[in-house]
Amino acid sequence: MTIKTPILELKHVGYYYERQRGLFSKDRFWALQDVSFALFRGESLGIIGRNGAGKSTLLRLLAGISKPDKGTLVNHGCTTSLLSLQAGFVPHLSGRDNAMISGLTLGISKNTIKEKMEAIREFSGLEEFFEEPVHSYSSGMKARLGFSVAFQLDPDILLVDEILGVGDELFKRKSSTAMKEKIRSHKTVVLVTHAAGTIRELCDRAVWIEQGESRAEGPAKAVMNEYEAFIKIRTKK
Amino acid sequence: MDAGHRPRELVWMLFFQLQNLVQYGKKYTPVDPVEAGTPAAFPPRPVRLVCKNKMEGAVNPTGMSAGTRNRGWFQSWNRLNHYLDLVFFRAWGDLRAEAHRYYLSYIWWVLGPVLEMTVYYLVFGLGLRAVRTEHFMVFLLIGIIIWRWFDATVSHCTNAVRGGRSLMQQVDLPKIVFPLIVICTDTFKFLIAFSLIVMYINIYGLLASSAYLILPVVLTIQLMFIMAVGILFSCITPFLPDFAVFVNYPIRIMFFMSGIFYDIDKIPEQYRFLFVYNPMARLIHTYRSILLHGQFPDIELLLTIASLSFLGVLAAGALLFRLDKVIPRALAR
Repeated sequence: MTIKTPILELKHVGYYYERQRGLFSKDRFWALQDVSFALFRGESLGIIGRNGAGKSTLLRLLAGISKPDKGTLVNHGCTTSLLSLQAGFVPHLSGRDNAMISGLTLGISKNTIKEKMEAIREFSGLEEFFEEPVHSYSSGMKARLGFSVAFQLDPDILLVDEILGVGDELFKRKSSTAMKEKIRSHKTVVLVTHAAGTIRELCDRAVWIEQGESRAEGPAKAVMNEYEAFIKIRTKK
Repeated sequence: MDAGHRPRELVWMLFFQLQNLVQYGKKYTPVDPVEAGTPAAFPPRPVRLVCKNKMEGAVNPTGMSAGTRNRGWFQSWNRLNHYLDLVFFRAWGDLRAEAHRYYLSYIWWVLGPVLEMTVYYLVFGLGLRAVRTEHFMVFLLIGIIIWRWFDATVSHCTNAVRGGRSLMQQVDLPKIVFPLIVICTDTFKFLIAFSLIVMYINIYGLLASSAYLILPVVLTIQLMFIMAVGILFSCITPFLPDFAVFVNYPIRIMFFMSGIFYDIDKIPEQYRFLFVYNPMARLIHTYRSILLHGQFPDIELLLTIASLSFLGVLAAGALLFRLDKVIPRALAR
């Protein structure tokens, strides 16, 4: 095995939100305080943490939406994208138009979307509804269209926030199978979840975030064991 | 890169040059996207984002950001074209979506301005005959239509970035996309109304002259002026939502000071200075001299407005780029 170099590194990263406390006073809430980990090429990294641990904030930093307020985040020239469903949907337009708009918003090129349009239509299973305005869709249909578009996204590093399967039972199975295949492939994936089982099943390595701090980083199984032991102690108290 | 995109690129090139200068204090050097994308060249120069600890009260130097920005938007023309595709497709989509909301759908694009002009015709053309200006009806309609373009676009821009708050938490978009979409939709609607008024003027009897040739230039200058003001305002509302309400009052004052109902040439000399520094008053006056009198406008004046607007667009654009990572935090509240 060769020595791998990380393609993304976080060292003592912190990020705060500002809360308004009256007309001129603000105070800072540090959503992330001290997060450090590295991401290697081709691996799938799981990030686990309880609600409010700072997982979504961390994803925003990784996606480049915000930049850290302290610490360093080194990106060795990779494109990162957050897999977000239904980004930029316009309800009064058809499924086809929304596939285009949502795809462009996510950063997929116009030509790629045009090429993949039939595949998107096929995968979503919307059939003739694909040409109908999205406001006539059920929420499940919207989710199916959103997933089919977002699934075409192909950045160097794919960031996934809990989304494995959406829609009804049949589509959920289909989409989560496709997603899992993508994660297991040689793609670099960061998967954020609070389900230890998912990370055990899908990820090579894992990071555990607790109250804005990274508690553990290492092989998925070891980190999960530590996390579950922690949860057990907390529930006993 | 196909030659069709050249003019677009030039404009964006200038934007990004300035953005780079402001943000990183260095000159922009394009990176070959092919080279950057191939695994062979991987990893390209590591980009370090170093921020001193703010908790200890240190100053945060502007560092490079994480994510797509490193290699992405500003270093490959593909990215630029991508965001222009997004702006145009989204603008066209919004226009169609708006039309589909109504029974008469696309007809409203024409019917809307016609009805509006009819209202002014009924009130001023048939009702109030007090004002004695030559061709008062067309004189007024030109003023109204031109003003409406500025007013509608700027007020939509003011809320544009703020309106994209949920989207920008999911996708790392350059924030300038939001005002540009609005500018495109409003400009499209204006151009329909403007063509109608030009047709009306010709039917009315004031025939087209060679001065019409300069109309595209004047329109472009006004577009730049609108962009400068609109993009600047769109930077403010994410931090100060009250600005969207407040700004209506200065704009209303500007409306009455732009000579829409009267000719600024007829203002007494001692008050003329109130209008000299109002670009909208000067632009409306210019349109009228072209459309009503077939006169070529004052080139020196146009150049002044054009260059100031251009600098304004660059400055406002640079400001918005600089705030790119600050705005999502401000809107996350």
